[in-house]
Amino acid sequence: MTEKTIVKVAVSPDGVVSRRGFLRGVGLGVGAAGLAGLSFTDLMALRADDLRKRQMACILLWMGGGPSQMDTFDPKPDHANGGGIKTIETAVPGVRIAEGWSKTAKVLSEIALVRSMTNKEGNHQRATYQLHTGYAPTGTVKHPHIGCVAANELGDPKFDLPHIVSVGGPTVGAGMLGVGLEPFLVQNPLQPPGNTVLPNKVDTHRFQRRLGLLHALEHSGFETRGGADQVKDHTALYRQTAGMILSPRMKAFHLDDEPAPVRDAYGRTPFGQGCLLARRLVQAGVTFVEVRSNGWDTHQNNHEKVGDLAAQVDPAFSSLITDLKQRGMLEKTLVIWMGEFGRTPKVNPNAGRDHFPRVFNVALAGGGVKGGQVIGASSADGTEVKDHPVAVNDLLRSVCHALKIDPTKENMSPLGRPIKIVDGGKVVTPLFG
Amino acid sequence: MSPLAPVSVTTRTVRRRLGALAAAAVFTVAPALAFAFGPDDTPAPSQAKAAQKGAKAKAKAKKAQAQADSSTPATDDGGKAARETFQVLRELQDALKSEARTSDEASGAKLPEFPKKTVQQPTLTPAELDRLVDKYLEGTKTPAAPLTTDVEFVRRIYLDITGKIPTPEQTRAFVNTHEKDKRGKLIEHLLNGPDYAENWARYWRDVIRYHATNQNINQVGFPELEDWLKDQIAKNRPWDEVARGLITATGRNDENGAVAFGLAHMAQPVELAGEVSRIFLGVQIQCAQCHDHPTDSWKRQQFHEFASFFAGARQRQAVRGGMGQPPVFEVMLQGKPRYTMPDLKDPAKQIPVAPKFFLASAAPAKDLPNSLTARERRDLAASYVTSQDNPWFAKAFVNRVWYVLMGDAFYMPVDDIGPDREAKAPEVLEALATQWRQGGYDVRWLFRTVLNSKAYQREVRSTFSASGRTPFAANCPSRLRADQIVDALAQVLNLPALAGQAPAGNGNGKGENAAKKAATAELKSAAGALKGGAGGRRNIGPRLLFNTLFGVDPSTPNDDVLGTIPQALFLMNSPQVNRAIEARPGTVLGEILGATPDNRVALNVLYVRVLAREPTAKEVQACGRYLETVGDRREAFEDILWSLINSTEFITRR
Repeated sequence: MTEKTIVKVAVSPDGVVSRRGFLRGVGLGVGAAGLAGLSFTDLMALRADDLRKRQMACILLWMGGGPSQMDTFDPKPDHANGGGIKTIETAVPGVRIAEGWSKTAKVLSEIALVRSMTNKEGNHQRATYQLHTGYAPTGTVKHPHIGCVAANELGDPKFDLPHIVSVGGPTVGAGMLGVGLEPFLVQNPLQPPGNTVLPNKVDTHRFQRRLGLLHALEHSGFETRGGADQVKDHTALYRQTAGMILSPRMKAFHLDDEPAPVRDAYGRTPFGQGCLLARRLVQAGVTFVEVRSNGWDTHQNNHEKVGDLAAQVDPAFSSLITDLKQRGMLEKTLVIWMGEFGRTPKVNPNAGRDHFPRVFNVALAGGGVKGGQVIGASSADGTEVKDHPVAVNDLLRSVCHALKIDPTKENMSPLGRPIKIVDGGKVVTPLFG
Repeated sequence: MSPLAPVSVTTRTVRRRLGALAAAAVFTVAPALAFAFGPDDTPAPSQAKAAQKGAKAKAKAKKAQAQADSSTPATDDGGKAARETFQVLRELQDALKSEARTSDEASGAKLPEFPKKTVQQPTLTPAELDRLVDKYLEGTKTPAAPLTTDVEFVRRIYLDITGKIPTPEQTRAFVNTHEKDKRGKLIEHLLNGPDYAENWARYWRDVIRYHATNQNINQVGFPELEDWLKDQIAKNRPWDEVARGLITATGRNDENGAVAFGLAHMAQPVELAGEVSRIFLGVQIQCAQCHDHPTDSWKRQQFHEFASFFAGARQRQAVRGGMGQPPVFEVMLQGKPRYTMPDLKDPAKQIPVAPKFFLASAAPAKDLPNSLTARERRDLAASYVTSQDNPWFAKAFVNRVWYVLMGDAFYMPVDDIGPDREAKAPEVLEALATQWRQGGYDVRWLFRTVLNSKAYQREVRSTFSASGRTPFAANCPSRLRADQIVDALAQVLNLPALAGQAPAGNGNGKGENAAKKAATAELKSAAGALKGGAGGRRNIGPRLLFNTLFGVDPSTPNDDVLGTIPQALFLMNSPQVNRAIEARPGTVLGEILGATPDNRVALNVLYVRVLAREPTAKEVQACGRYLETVGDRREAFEDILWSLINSTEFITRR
C-alpha cells in the first residue's frame, strides 16, 4: 500500500535524487550494499521482517510548559526552596517523591528517575524543539522529532495507521524527514481523529464508490494532459488515506471498547484517556505516541497548579505502566515523562516558579530501562547538578539505545548535508542496569 | 550584540540600582521582569555568555529574564521587591530608549561608497526572451511543448498572478472574446489588480515564515508582514527597496510590518545573516556557521563577518496583548555593538569579528571598522546585498519568480544558488537578471516579460516525463499553495467563511460568525491550535488554520512537495466540505441541478466551475456511466463534485 513512496527513487533532470525517494534510499543504503541483486521490493520485505523482530515502541508523556522538579520527583522538603512540599514513600526504599504522586510512587520500582538533567535553553519554543530533536532550532535545517526518527527506523512500511501520533495537540514535526512521517494529530482522545469518520449520508459503500469514480476521472483527465506524476503521487496518498480509515486497526481509536474500570483507572481526563489511547495505539502497532499535558508553566501559584496537574498525570502515568506491564508490553515500550526544562528552585513572589533549564528531572520506564533507581542528584538547594549531569543529547542517545536505533546514523538534509540522529552525547548506562 | 557598549551615565546609574536589587531577589522577581521586558526576550546562549562579562546588573537582569515566562503577565501584587524592581526597570527602559535614539548617530567611521543606483529601461522583450529559450532548447534537441489553449491559459494566469482560480464568468469571457492580444491584455489587467499584490505578499510571507526560528504568530506579527509586503508589491516598489526595508527594519511591528523579518529570528545576528543571504542572494552561507563549508568555498570566518552586520539589535515586547488585541513587539538597535565568534580551539574564548561582505563588490569590502553603529551596519548590509554591482541579488529573485511561473528553475533548490553552482540555461537567466537589475529591479516588468513569453505559455508536462526532463521545454505542474487552495475551495463551494472572508450579499453578521466558528473548530481538529495560540487575535480565523494544515515551505523543490494524510482526510471527509457538496436548495450544486435539467450541460457547468475547463470525452463517458449506475441524479452529482474537489488537478497549477 505504501510501497510506492518507499520504492520510488527518482532522479530529477539535475541528476539530483529527489527527496521523496532519497531519504528512504538512505535508510536502505546500508543493507542494500550487502544485498546486491535484490529488488527494492525484496529489500522492503526483508526490512519489514527485521523490524517485526524488534517491535520497539515509545510513549512520550510531554509536560508542556516545564514541570517543576521540586514538586514532582526531586522534592526538597528540608530546604526553604522546597516551598513547604511534603514527600511520600515509594515502592523503592529510601526514594521519596513529592506528595500528590502516590500512585506513581507505588510503581516506582519500574521507573528510573534522572534528577540531574541540565541544559541552557530557557525559552519554551526553543527548548521544546531541542528536547524533541536533540538540536537547537536553526533556519537552515528542520530537525525531526525523535519520534519521527523512530517511526522512520522502526515503522513497518506495510502498516496502515500512522507510525507516530500526537495526542492532545500538535508537536514538533518530521522536518527534513518529510511529510510522510509527520506526527498524526489526535486533538481530543475522546473523539475519533479529525475527519477519519465518514460524513453524514456517506456509508462505506458510497465512499468506495466515490473512490472508484475519482480513480476513473483521474486517469481519463489530468493524467493524460501532463499531470501523470502528480496523479501518481496523489493516487498513492489517497489509497493510503482510504486504507487507513477503512482499516480494522482504526478500532484502536475507540476508547469505548475499553472496560469502564480500566478507563477509570487512567482517570477520566483528556490526559488520562490520552494515555489509554497511547497504550491501544502501541498495541495496534504504532511506533511512537506522544501524549501532551499542558499547563506546567507555573509562574504563579505553583503548588496548587502542580497539585491539579498531578491529579491528572499521576493516575494516568501509573496506570499506563501497570497496564503495559500486565500485558507484557513494558519490556518493548519505552515510556518517557518529561518537559522542556525545570523550574526555579526559589519560589517567586507570586508563589510561582520560573523557567530553569540548569536542573530538571525526567522519568523513564520500560524498553529495557532498569526501574527503581535514581540517577544523578541536585544540590540541597536545588540550584546545581551535584552528581552525574545528563545533557539533552545524553538523554536522546539513551532513548535511541532503548529503541535499538543507531544514533550515529545520518539523514540527509534537503541541501544534502548529513545530520546525525543524535549529535554527540553518551548513553546514560546506569539506566539499563 | 554586546553589553560592553558604552552606556550613558543615566543607564549606568539605573543599572547599578537594579544590580543591588537583582542580587537580592533575582529569582523571585522574574515575572515582574517579564512584564517590563516582554516575553521571550531571551538572550541566545552566545549573548548570554557575553553578558556575563558585561555589566553585572544587566547580566543579572538578563538571567532572570531568561527564566521569565513568555505568557504570564504579572498582574498580581508581586510584593514590594517586585514593585521596586519594576520601577527601576521602567527607568532602565526609558534610559535604553534614549540610548536607542542616540544609536542612530553616526560612528564617524569612514563608510564605503556604493555606485549610485541607475535605471536603464530594459530592452529585453518577451520575443527576445523566447529566442534565448529556443536557442537553449535547440542545443538540447528537445521539441518544445505546444502553446496552451486559451482555456488552459486562463486558469494558469489567474493562479499565477492573483492566486485565485478564474470564476466561470471570467473563464468564459476570456475564452469567447476575439480581441487582439487578449492574453497580453489580461496579464496587464491582472498585474494591476489588488489580488496580484495579495498573492505574492503571501508567497514572500511564507518564504520568511517557514524558516522563522520563532513561529509564534503574535510575537512576530506575520499578518502585519503580509500587509506590509502587499502594500510594497501593489506600489511596485523596486525590489532593492523592499529588501532594504526588511533588512533594516526597526521599531514596532504594528507600525512597520517589515520588523517581523527581524522578529522572526528574535533579532539574532547569526540567524538573520543566514536568512538575508538565503532569501535575497540565494546563497546558503549559514552552512559555514560552525565550520568551513565542506563543498562550497565559504569559510566560517566569512559567515561571521556577514553576521557582524546584524549585531546590536534586540527584540522586546512594547505592548502586552489583551482581549482581542495582539501584543506589540519591537526591534531596537544599540549604539556600537561588538560582534564575536567562538574560538574553535578554545570554546570559552570569543574572537571579535568586524563586518565584511563575502561576495565581490565594487565598494571596497575591506577594513570596515568594528566601531560601526548597529544602524550603520544594517544599512551597509542592505547596500552590499542590493547594490547593482552584485549580480546575485537579481539572480536570486529572477530564479524564484521563474520557478513559480515555470514550475522549474535555473538553479534548484531556489535558495541554494551562488558562484559555486551551475545554472541551467545560464544565458536566459543572465539576460533576464541583468536587464532587471540594470532596470532598477522593476518587479512588474519581470512578470510582464516572462508571462507574455511563449516559454511561459506552453502546455504542462510532468517533470519526469520526456519533455519535462528538459528544462523549459514545457511548463511544469506544481501544487497550489495553501492560500490558493483555500480560496479555490471557498470560491467553488461558496464557502467564504473557510477563507475568512465576509459572505457576499446579506449582512447577516451572526450567521457569518457562526460559519467562521464552525470552520475554525473543524480545522482545529485536523490541524491543531496555532503555535503560540491565537493570543489576542480574535480575527485569527480559519484561513490560518487551513495554512497550518495545507502549508508548504515555498522554497521546497516541487518534487519534494507531497500531500499529507490529514489534507486528504479534510478534502474527503470534513463535514464542511461535504455539507457544501450536497445538492440541496442554497448550495452550489443544488442551484446548478435546479437550473439545468440536462445532465451533459450540468456536468459542463460543474467542470468549468471547479477545474475551469470542460470535461474530456472520456470524463463525460465515465460520469455518464456513474450516473446510470447510481440511479439517483443528485447523489451521483454530489459524488462527481466530491471527485473533482479531491482530484489532483484541483490542487495543482497546470
